[in-house]
Amino acid sequence: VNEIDDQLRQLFLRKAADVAPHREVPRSLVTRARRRIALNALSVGIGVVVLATGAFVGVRALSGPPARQPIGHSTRPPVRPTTSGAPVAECASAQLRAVASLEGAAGSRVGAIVLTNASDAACTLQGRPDITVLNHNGDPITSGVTFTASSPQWAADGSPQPKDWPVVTLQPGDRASVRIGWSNWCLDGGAVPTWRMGIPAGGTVDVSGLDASTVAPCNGPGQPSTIQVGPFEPRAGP
Amino acid sequence: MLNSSVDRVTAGDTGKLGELYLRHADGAVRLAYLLTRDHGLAEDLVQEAFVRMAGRLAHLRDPEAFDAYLRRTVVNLSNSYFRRKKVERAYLERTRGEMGAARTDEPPDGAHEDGEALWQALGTLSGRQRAAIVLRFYEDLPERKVAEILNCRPGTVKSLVSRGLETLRNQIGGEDR
Repeated sequence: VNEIDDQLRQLFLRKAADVAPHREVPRSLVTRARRRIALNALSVGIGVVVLATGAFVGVRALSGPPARQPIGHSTRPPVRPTTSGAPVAECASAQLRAVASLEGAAGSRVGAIVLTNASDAACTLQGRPDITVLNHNGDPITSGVTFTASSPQWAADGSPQPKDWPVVTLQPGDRASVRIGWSNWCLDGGAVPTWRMGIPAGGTVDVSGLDASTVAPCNGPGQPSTIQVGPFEPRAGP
Repeated sequence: MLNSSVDRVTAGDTGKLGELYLRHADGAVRLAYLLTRDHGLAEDLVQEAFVRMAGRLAHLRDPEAFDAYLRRTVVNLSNSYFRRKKVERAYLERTRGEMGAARTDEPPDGAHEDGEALWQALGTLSGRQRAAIVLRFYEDLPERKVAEILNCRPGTVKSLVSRGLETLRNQIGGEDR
């Protein structure tokens, strides 16, 4: 055993002595090293960007759909395919009928605007409608009314999220609703106003069903009237 | 001195990489040559080792460990090279078998010199066996250090050396007969 050990040691020493000493640095070494360092820095940068993007997307996904959307800026949905594969277009205002269904509650009125697909074609709604309040002359009231976004009724009830929400698909005759909370109506001498609903696809639908019994009571003259508006959601009940 | 060089390269002063190269290249190339038995390949592997280390020096916590890190990188590059060659050789042999051609492998540097049977026999060992034997009998490293470089247990090093020596003994014995 020792014999081959010694042979190997001598062989290695002899062979190692054949290697010429290195008195110069190869020109390519520094160039390649610089390139490697730059690539590493680039990799780190890309990694940081990917991680940050992933974290941002993850946080947004965990936080779910936005609970509040600014009034007047409804999200326009894409055209969605039906189960048969044919695309379903967004609801046009001409396809819809809107009826307010409000009840008294602690000095305010709460309920919903119920939208019915009165056409013979399926269509979709998504987002939050614009509401315009008109005075007894039919002119828009541009001050003294504060709009705020509210959560959908299913969320307020603690019910499970409806299938496909926030997109609501309405077959002919189907209904959707928009949750409403209305308080302190003192404007226009307390006259019953007209509400006009702006549809995401464009156009407006006049809301019927508002009368003296559904107008919010005037509890604070000089204070603005507040209208809370929820997003479109399926309407299962009456 | 070495520490300051490492610090400067870490800070991005690649010009100082040359200082480290001149300090450590001779030992690294000798090791690479004993592992590969090819002067040109040894130079290439060592340069590649320095390039890789230039990119990683920022992560080298202990500048004192530069030499050991360089040695380990050279051994790993050598083993990777021989793994690739093994795959290529298997493919070429299969192709030659199909074409009916004879082998034309070139002998390693110095294989034709007198008394070089042992040198040639080293080429029959696996990359890890050869690395274990070179590190043990040329670098005179203890089994524990060799195990750290080869990323294995000391018992595995003992086994690699033992089987490598047995293979060499058989090879030389066969040549002698």
